[in-house]
Amino acid sequence: MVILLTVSSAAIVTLSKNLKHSIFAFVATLIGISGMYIFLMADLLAIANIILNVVALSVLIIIGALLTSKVTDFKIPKSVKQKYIYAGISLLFFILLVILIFITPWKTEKSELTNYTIKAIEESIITSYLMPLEIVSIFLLSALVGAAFLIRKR
Amino acid sequence: MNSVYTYLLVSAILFCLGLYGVTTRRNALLIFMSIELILSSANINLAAFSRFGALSLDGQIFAFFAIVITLAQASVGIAIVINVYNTFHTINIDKLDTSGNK
Repeated sequence: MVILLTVSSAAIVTLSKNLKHSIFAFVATLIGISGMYIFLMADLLAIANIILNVVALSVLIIIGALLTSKVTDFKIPKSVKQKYIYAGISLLFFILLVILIFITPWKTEKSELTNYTIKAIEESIITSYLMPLEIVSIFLLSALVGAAFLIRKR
Repeated sequence: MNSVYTYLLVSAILFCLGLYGVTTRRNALLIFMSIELILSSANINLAAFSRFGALSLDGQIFAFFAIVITLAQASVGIAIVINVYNTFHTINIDKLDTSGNK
């Protein structure tokens, strides 16, 4: 069910002719991805995905769509002519990925994850992953300053 | 739902849909959403390997950092798209041409 939601709305995102439909299907895709995280016992990832992507990123994209197109006209400009070539390339890549997935001997036993991974993840982040955390913080700060600098009034 | 192949297949489908969207869409916002699909497929892979492989919890931490970096990239990207619209009055990326010929 979750997989069906994710895949079908992702298909709507890339194939729809209307920008509004694409945006709402994008939100549905992100919600489906959060559901897959829940099935993978990744509760922190599910919460972070809902808060950051479903809420913040969708609001960003909706604001971008409202600021960059006329409200009554959400038509997407026509695609390129070589659309079938790119579709063929994507399909070939997908077939290659599927072959690789099925010939690789993955470890299929489940690892020892508890039902509640948030505490373990936060202990791991403030001990062994402290340096990436600091780098990501500085990166996020500079990205915010850069975004505010880009859309200032001249 | 209970094997690693399901998640890898869904991730491959999302990646290829995102690839198709990036190469064929002409609207900058839609290219943006396709890039987000590609990054989400990578995150699903990381979470799946943290569930099914020897990569316990480290995969989830990688995916967490990837989500944060995705959001920072998205904020700068939307700012660039709005700036481009203010300059060219369109976000059709075929028409973003400063040399004057169509």
